[in-house]
Amino acid sequence: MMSAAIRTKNKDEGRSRFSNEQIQFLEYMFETQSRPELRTKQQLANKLGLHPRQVAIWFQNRRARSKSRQTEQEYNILKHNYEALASKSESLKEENQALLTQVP
Amino acid sequence: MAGFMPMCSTIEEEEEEEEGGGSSSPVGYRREFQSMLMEGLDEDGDQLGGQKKRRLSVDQVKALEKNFEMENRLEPERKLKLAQELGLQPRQVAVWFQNRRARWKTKQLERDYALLKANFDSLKNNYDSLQQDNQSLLKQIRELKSKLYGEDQETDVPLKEETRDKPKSPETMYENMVATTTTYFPDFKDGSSDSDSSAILNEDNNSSNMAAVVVVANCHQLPESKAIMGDAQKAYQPQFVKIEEHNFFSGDESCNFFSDDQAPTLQWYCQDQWNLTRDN
Repeated sequence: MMSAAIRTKNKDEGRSRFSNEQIQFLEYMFETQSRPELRTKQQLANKLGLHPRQVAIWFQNRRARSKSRQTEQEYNILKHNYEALASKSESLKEENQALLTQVP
Repeated sequence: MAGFMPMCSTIEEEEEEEEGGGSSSPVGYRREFQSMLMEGLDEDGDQLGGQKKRRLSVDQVKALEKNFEMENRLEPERKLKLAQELGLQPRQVAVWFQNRRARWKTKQLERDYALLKANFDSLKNNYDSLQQDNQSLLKQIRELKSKLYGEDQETDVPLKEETRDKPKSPETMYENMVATTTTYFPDFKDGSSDSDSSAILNEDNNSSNMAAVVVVANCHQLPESKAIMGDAQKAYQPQFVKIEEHNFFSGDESCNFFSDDQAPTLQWYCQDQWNLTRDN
């Protein structure tokens, strides 16, 4: 894995920035297929005026981001469920204690 | 990724850049993708400007990782020092740290999730065993009381006597509930004698609602009982509030006794996860 980009001090600010339209289109494609085939990527690159490798890496990153978001979502849901279950647990404990007084 | 971050000197200042492309990813992700900036490649994928993107050596990475472990934020002096020591551009060090933080954040999230899942599973086990205890206690009480009252009596007679004689104050409601808790259970088991209570039972077989059911059934002598029984679900709420005062139950309304009414959002949350509303 490339762990760092070599940064030059070029005044090429923003040259790596994809245009909004490019991003829009890439996102649109991502919606239906997160792992496009080589040919698709090539076509995409041609259409958008990008290097195929750029497209490939965009998808790679996009998948990673998707995965992170999903984990985050799942985490929040689970947290919520956990808290609800914890409170239910407490109630049940108390109920059991109360019932216990009636048994012996 | 080229689309997400402009290549800019502000990287050195470790500031967050406005991201391009209209995506709404959180901060950490933007930083992460900075590392993958394609930086405008020429045909063979070589970086424009004649500099190849080279991987850092194993030793360089080791040193950076070590440094990162001590302190994951970089001040200018440390950055320069590291850059010198490792033979890298300061910019490279800065970017490496930025990316490293983003990677760390992702890993941390996964760690947190795994931990939460483990806690949740153990909580669930506890809950299930509590539920078992609950069931066995109820059964015990039922059996004890049915022995006490014998078989020749109508099972709803003691119920009616006790509830009719007493005034309908909240205190006596509570007494009723404690005293008649067990007398209800034969009813519910048979689903017979008292038509009102069996209606409740039919509505909701969830045993965790048993106590709540008792609450409602206890009030069937009250004038509004007809209205209550007509809509058993809605009836739970007002009665539940009264009993809260006596701390019989936990006053926490999020405990889903009245799951359908109270917490529609939770049902949405549950999806295929632990189903709090029905899985008792």
